[in-house]
Amino acid sequence: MNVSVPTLPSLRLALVGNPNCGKTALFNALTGSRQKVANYPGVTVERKEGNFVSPIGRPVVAIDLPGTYSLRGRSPDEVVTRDAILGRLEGDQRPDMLVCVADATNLRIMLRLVLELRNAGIPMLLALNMMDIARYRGITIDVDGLSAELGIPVITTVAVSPDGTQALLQQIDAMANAGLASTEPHWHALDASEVRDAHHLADRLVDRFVSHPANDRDWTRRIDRILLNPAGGLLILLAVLFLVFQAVFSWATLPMEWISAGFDWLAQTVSAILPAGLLSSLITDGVITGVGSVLVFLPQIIILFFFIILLEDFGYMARAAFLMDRIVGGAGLHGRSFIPLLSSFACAIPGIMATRVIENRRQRLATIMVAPLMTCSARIPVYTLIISAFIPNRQVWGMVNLQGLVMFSLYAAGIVSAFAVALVFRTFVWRGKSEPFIMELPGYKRPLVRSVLLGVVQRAIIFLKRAGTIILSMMILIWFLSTFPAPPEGATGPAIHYSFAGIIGHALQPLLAPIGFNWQIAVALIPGLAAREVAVGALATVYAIGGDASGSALSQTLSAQWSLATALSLLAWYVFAPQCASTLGVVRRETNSWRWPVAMFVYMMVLAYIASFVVYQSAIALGG
Amino acid sequence: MHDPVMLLDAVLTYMIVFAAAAFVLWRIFLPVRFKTVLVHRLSGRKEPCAPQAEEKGCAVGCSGCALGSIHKRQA
Repeated sequence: MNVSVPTLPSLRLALVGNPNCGKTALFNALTGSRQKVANYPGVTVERKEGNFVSPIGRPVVAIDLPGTYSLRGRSPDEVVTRDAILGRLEGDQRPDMLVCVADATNLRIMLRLVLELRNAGIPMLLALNMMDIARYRGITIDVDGLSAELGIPVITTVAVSPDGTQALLQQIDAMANAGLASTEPHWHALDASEVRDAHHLADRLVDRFVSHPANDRDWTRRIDRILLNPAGGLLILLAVLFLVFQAVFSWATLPMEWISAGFDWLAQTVSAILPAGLLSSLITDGVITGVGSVLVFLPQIIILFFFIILLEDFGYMARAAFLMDRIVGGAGLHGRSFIPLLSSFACAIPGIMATRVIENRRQRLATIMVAPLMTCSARIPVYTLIISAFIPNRQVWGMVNLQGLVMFSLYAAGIVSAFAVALVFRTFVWRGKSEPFIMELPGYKRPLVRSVLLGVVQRAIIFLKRAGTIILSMMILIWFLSTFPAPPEGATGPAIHYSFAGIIGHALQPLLAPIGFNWQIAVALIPGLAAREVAVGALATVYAIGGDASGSALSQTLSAQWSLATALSLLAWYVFAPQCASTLGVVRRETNSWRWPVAMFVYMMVLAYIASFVVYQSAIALGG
Repeated sequence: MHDPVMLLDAVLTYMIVFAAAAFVLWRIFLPVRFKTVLVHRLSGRKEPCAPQAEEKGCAVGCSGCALGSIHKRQA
């Protein structure tokens, strides 16, 4: 017997609230998505949609909006939130319901936004998120009283707990069943006196309905006294970053050897099975050697992101932004630039998108232009390869790993050069006053193991996906260019010299000779423009096909073929080397002009050449 | 090259290289607009309208307005 189940009409709800109140964590909990969350404001800069079905079977479209303190829309990310709520986004329906998400430990500022949101004309409810932390700290909230006073349902949630969204889901169903009737928005930009009045009203509501314990159990202030100390704080920050890079090198050695041995075994097995010919060469020299030489760096990427995500979740990265404010401001950047620059350590693309939190146009452009100078994860394979080939793995000053120290220095070089270039831009191109940095520091939280592991796994998957798609494809093309055309009759040199790659490499080599690059490096630099780590695979393939590989590991080949001066020059090149094609595309999209990506490409190329030239010639002069 | 094994070897190799070249062309070189139009036409759907010039005048271009930077995600 067929029973027809009546389909409930779908519902669109938007999650809105202050930055860092847990909107995205709630969005992930409701929809099962895996959007990035971190314990600092400004992580979400664009609106995201996800679907879920409510307990009674109602299809719901959830919209995660960037955090905001008001509907004024001072920065591009806040404009997205305002326009989504007021129905100003072309081709996008207004939400049927607003879920105002508040950090239960810090209700005052959210209540001011709730008062403003009442003018949006959309039925709404207030979700007091992070109630577990509020309870731990002894904060009590008169939920019923607050609900009666505001005239909207108020419920409590713990987005990171498995059952923490039950009350919210039930309330959504209850409100939808009762009927949701939106009215025309009658919001207007508040003037100064209206803002003051709203603040006073929010203060009164907090005084009436929220009680704080006499002795706050929150350790945030006590920890901040040490970590935010003007002198000691910076030293601690440097020490933390230094230890991270030490760990990256020390811990990754063994798994890297395993992966390398695995690929060696695979290459030998495949060449034993397949008859000698083109296909065998493609798979062993192109695919396995090329992709394997990049994949071997997976452990280092995992370890680095484990620490970054751990520090983000703990709340330390927001403190790092605070500590760096004077330095960032000195370079003419906005204090909010720190978060985009920090994001750029993973990849410049989310970093450039994260500049939407910056209100000032000039500071935003300056941040976009220097974000690619921060060391992205695609540089890790290049740096690690050269360091492991040329820098001895020994301890200096008793306990410091020399390879880790060099890696730390390369990261520091990226940061310093980003600030120097920003200062040049702000002094000569985008002059103007820097605006003060105001950021609400989040409370320290115990990082959730699941959240950290999920973040690390996501980074690993991104890396593996790149290796399996664009890097794999590029390796196949490099193999083709290195294999064809075949050498002419009577040729005496290695076959690769007569190939397309050999011809291109030899044509470019005179241009790169002053910076110490040979023709193989010239070949590797070209696909490296598409994705930096491809350069490592390209080197592996070119040396393997050329018959110059002097060991199973590429690092052994390079240390036998290159001088130290060439290696240092290539490191200097990759500190500044022009960004990958995807980054230039994102700069084009974010600036709505080709002028800035072209300017970025040119200035980075010039910087890279000059840096390599200086390093190479200096190293030669010193006997490198 | 008349050896069937060698012939198969060459055909497979060239097919892999061709597929890789097509993938790199698609991912890196083709403009997004062209890809969107192509995908929609091949699937028989009406292609979305072309992006229009911004009217509100964001400070540095796209600020994630209705015409850009909206990524719908499925749960």
